[in-house]
Amino acid sequence: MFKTGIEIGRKAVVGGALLLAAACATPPPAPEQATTYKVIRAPVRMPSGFDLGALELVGEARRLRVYTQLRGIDDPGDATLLFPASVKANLGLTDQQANLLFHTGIRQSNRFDTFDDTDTKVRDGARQNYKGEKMDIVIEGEFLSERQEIIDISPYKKIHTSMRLIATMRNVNTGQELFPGAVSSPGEWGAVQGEGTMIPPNVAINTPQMQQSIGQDFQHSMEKAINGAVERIDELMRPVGYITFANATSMDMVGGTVNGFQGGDNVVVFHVDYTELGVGKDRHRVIAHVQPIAVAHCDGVGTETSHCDFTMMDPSVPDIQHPALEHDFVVLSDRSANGPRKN
Amino acid sequence: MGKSTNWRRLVIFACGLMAGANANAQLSPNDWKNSLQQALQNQAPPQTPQGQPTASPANDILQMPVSAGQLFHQKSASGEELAFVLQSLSMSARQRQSRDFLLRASPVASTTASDYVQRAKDEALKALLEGAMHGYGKDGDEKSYSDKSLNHFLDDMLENKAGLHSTRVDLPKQGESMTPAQQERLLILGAMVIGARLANETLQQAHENFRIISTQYEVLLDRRQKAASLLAGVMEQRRQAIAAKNELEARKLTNGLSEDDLKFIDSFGPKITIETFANDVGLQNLALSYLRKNDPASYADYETDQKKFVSSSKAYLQTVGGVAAFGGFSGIFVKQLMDMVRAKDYTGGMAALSLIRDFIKEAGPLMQSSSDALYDGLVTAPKNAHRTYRIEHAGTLTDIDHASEIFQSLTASGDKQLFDDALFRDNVPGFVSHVYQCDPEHAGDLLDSAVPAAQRKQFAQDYLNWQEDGPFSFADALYDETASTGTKRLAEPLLNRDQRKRADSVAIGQIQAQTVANDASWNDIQLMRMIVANSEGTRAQMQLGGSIVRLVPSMSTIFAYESYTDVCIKTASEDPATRESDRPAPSARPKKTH
Repeated sequence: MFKTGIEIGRKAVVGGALLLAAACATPPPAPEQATTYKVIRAPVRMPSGFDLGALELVGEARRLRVYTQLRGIDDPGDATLLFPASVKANLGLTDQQANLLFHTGIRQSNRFDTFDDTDTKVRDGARQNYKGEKMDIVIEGEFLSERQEIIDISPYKKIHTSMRLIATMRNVNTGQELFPGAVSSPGEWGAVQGEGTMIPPNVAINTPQMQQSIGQDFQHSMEKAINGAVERIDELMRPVGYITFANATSMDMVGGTVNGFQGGDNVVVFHVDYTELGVGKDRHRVIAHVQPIAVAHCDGVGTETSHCDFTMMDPSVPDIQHPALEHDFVVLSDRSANGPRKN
Repeated sequence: MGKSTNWRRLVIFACGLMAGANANAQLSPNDWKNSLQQALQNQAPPQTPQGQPTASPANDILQMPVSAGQLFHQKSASGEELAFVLQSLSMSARQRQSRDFLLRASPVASTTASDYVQRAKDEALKALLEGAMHGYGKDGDEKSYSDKSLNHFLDDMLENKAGLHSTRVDLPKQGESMTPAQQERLLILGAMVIGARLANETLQQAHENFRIISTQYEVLLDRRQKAASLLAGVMEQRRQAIAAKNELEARKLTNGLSEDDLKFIDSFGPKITIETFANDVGLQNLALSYLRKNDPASYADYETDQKKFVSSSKAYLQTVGGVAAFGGFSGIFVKQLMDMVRAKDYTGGMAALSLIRDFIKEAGPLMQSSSDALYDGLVTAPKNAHRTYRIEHAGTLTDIDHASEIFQSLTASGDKQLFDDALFRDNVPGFVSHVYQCDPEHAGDLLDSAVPAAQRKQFAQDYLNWQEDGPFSFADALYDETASTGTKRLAEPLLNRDQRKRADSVAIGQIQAQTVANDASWNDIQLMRMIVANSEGTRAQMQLGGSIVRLVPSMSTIFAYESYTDVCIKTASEDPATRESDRPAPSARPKKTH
C-alpha cells in the first residue's frame, strides 16, 4: 500500500516534470513571429550627406518629380576615341540610348517619379515643366574627356577607356544647386585584368571586329560613369519618411517602397525645428535645428507606409513612452544606404 | 505572499531539475533538449525485439549491437568491434551533423548529488577530468573542419580492415554493470581512441608521402628549369644575332614564339638568364610552351612528372585534410565531454577516466595538426616562405612572401579598390566568376572564407530555403549545382552579376559586399588561384591599375598553377553529371578562416 503510494507519487512527479518540461522548453518561432528588439539608450548619430531640403516635399506625401536630361555623348571637343561614330550607331550608342541609360539608372532607385525627353532625344536646357507636371528636381548630365588609349601591359597591349560624367542637380522650387559644384563621376574601363580589348600582335585595331570590341569598351566605361553618378544622386536624395504614429516600441510612417525604402532597412528618426529668415516677400523658412531621436528597424515596409520597431533611443528623449511626434522625420541610415538597394 | 514565493521556488527548482543542473551549471539549448528527451525515454522505454539493435528517438543514428555489453566482459575491443560507432559518425558527417554526434548519440542525463560523499567524489572526478583535458577543448576554441573531409576520412578508415582488426583499446571491466546509455558512451570513447590511433598512423604515412612529393617537386622544378635553360640559351643567341644585325637568324632562332612572347621575355631585361626564369611562373610556362613545340619528347616527360606531382599532392591534401578534420572533430568531442563534466553528467565517469586519458594522449597531436600547419609547403606556404609573389608598381619590382602583404601593398598604392571592384562585375565575368568557370568549389571557398558561418546559414535559409541543420557552405552548394543538370539558382546571380549596390536580391548583394569587405583575409592558395584563373594565357599575373602581381615559382605556386590547369582540363572535357567520382579532394580547401 505504502509502496503503491510512492509509485503514484513518482508517477505524479514524472508527469509533473514532463508538463514542466513542456512549459520550460521553448517552441521554435513561427515564420510570422516578429523579432523583439531591445531598445538601447545611446546617442544617435545623424546620417550625413543627404538633402534636408527634400523634407518640405515629404510633407506632401508624394514622390519627388525628377526630370533627367543628358546633354549628349557625341564627340565632345576633347574626345579621343579609337572607333568611328558609325560603330557607335551600330552598337546603339546614340544620344538617345545614353539618355535612356541615365534616366533608367536614376529611376532604378525607386524613389522618384522620373521624366525625360527621350522621344525628342537630348536637348539643351532641361525643362521645369513636362506634360503639365511641375518638376521638383532637374538632373542634367554631360560626358566630358572621353578618351581611349592603347596601354602596354607586357606582353599585351590593350585598350583603356576613360570618361567623366558631370551631373548637376537643381531644386526647381528654390533654384538651388543641390551638389556644391557638380558631381564628377569617372568611368574607366581597361585598368584591371579582364577589362579592355586585348590587341593581339599583328592585328590592326581598325578591323570591324576590333572596332566593335573597342566600341563596347566605350559603352562599359559610360555605364560605369552613369552608375557612379547615380550612386551620388541616391546618396543625396536619400529616402525620407514622415512619422504618423509612435509609441515606446514602434512607429509608423508615410514612406515605403515607392520612396526607396525596403524591408530590413534601419532608419533614423529626427526632429526638425525651423526659423524664418529674410524680410518681406523674401522671408522664408529655414531649418534651425536637427535632433536625432531614435533608430528603428523596418520589417514592415509597404508601398507607401511602413511599420518599424525602435532599436535605439537617444538619451535626450525625455519621454520614452512617446519618443517621436507626428511630423517628425525619418531618413535611411548610413549603413542601410550603403548596402544593396533593391532594383 | 509566502505561498506564492514557495510556488515560485518550486517551479524554479523543478525547471532546474529538468535542466539537470545545479545552480552553477550552464546548459546549452541542446542540453535542455536532451534532458527532455531523456525524461521522455525514462517515461516510455522503447520496446525492441530481442536480438535487435536498440534505437531510441534521440539516438536514431548510433545503432548499438546487442553484443556491445559483452565487450566490457572481455575488457578490450578491436576497431572492427567498434566500427559501428565510426560508421555512425561517418554517417553524421555525411549529413553534416557530426558536431552534434556525441550529444545526439549519448544525450546528457541529469544527475544530482545525493549526499556529501557522492558530491565529494564528483568534485574529485571533475578535477581529474579537467586536469586530463587541460589545454584542449576550451570554451569557444572549437576547431573548424569540413564534415565532408571527415566523412571521406572515416570511410577510408573503415575500409582499412587490417588496421581496424589490429588496433585495440582497453575497456573498463565495471562497464559490464552499467546502464546501456553509460556503456554506449564508453564505447564511443573507445572508438574515438581507435580512430585517433589510426589517424596518427595515417598522419605518419602522410608525412612520408610529403617527402616523396617534395622529391617529385624537385624533379618537376628541375624539368621546368631545363626548359628555361633551353629558352635562355636561345634568347642569348638571339641577342647576339640582333647585335650582329642578323635579323633573319634572330627570327629563325625564336621560331615558335610569338611577338607577344618575345615582348614578354624582353620585359624582364636585355639579358635574360636562367635565374630570371626562376623568378616568374609565367616565364617558366613560356619556356615549357617553347619546349613543347621544339622538343616534344622532353615535354612529354615533363607532363608525366607534372601529373605525378599533382596527383600525389591532391592525395596528400585529401589525407591531411581528413586527419585535420578528425582532429577538429576531436576538439569538439573533448569540449562536449567537458560540458558533460560541468553539467555533472558523468555517472560512471571514473570508469571512463582511463579511456579519456588514452583519447587525450592520442588525439592531442591531431587536434594540434588541425591547424594549417599540415598544409605547409604545399597550400598555405610555410611561414618562413620567401618570395611567393613579385609585385611591379611604378617600374619597381618588390618580392613579397604572403597574400596579406600583397593586399597591404595594393592598399598602399591605391589599387586595392580596383581589385575589390573587379571581384563581381556586370556584363563581363568578375574575378570570382573566372575562378568558378574551372573550379566552382574553390570559387565557393572564397566566399566561405570571407562570410561568417552565421551569415551564410541565414542566407541559405532565406534565399535557398535551405532546411538542413549543419553549416552552409558555398563551396558545396556551387559544386553540387554544377554537378547537377538543374537550373543554376545560385551561380548566375551570385557570381556573374554585381549586386552590391543595385540588387535584384538584397541577400545576394549582402553576401557579395561581405566577401569584398573581407577579401584581404584570403590566404596564399586562394590568391594564387585567383591570379591563375584570371591571367591571360599562361602568364601567371594579374594587372590592377598600375600594379602587376606575378607568381614566383615555388612548391605552392607551381601546385596552384598545375592543379588549376588540371581541374580546368577536366572541367572542359567532362560531362558535369559524371564528375562526382572525380571530385577534387574537398580537404584540399584551406579552412583557416571558416
